[in-house]
Amino acid sequence: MYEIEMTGDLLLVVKQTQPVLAPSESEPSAESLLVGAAREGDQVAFGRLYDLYSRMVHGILLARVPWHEVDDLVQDVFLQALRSLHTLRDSGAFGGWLAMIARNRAMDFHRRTRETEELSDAISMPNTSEAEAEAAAVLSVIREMPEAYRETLILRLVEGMTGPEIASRTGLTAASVRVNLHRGMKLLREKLGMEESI
Amino acid sequence: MSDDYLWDGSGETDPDVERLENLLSRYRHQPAPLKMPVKMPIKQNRSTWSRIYSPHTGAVAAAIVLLFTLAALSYFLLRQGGMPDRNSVADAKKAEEQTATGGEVKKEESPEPRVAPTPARPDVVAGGVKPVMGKRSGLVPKKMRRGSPDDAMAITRREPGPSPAEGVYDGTDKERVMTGSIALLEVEAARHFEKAQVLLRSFRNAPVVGDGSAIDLSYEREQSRNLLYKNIVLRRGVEARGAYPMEDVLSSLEPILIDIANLPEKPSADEVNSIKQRMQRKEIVATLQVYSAQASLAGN
Repeated sequence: MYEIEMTGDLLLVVKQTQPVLAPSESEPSAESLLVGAAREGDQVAFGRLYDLYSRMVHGILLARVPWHEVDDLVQDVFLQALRSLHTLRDSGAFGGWLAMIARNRAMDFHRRTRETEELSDAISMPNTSEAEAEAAAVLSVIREMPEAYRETLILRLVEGMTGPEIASRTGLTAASVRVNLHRGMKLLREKLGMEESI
Repeated sequence: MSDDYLWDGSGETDPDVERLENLLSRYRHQPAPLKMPVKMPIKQNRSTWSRIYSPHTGAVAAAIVLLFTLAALSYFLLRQGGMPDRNSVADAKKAEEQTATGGEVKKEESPEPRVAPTPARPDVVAGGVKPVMGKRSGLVPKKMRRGSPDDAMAITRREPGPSPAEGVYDGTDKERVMTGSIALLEVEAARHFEKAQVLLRSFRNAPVVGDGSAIDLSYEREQSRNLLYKNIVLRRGVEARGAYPMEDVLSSLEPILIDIANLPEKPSADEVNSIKQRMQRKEIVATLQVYSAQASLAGN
């Protein structure tokens, strides 16, 4: 979690060790302040939003498009967000709004890409080690899972985000993220033939 | 086993989760600086009126006003049984002057008393005079001529002509400008795509030294900045008018222009090669070639 500190004319975003309580109605969140500043043309504020949300966007895209395309699309998503930032009415909903842009961008990617047979990441990377091939295989198994599970699992297992972090970034409730993680992991274990530890 | 480790990394380590984390960490996002456009968009304070108003609503409103004016004019003409022509108005003025000065009336009066003719159609008035509509207006808006490059300015500039203060309705001018703006944007886009093509070809052909030493691409950077601004303006224009294929090309071109514009003063061969690879992967030069040809044809 992040909280914001105003020190003179400096706007600092610092990592916090303790979980933050939900911000009160009257107190705007760090993201809201950053969104407000970015709307006024503050590049630094937008850069900070990028730092905060790029992992989430990367994870959402990775759940849908080939790995080698993801970095370009992350840039596209943030450029699109920058262009449409003035259309966002509730600054506090930036995470969910950005996640939606990322999902739409991934759909556009598939719509506009010529109809070709996509190689799995394992096949498209010749001379890969055994670990790399296994990683690619696991990733493709996750991608075949239902959308709610695959997105949450990728954010957790690939991007290294915690459950509360996923909830605050994507705008989902903590309870639904927890359920998705639990059920998704159970399904993944079954598909990979792992025996659940008791 | 509790799923605390899966939830927030606390509690007893789940070996499966830990193994998968290690295995999949190779796909993790590698933080890279965001390539921002040269100019940040500033918040647009949109009032309720500006939300309602759009070029389409403007055109519809102009059409309604035009119809209303025509209906009122027809009604007035039918009630009056005709309108006095210019000569009778001039005669009346002269008569008034005559009365005021007590002088004689000049001999240019016509022998017959003037009677205002009743027009067969409400829009046709004797003597060819259309008192309200003006010469440049009519029931059917004049077809928009396909724009020459200079016409692009017409999007924001009002064409010279009779003003409303002169009693002439200028709604058709506005309609013409609005309906023609896509064609004008196509012309502008064709020129822009051609310039971008030249730039990208020049960039693609820039010699790259194998030892990784710096390359001077200051001209390309400067050009790219200029084109980037134009690209953003055009993209916004076509986006607002729903020309999605063109918007798609402009959107694909924009990151490349940003990359080139954001190159350091003396970029390394790796940096240049990385952009060249992206250009090749996106086939941007070929796409520009196709679209500039299409846009030129559409503009002609």
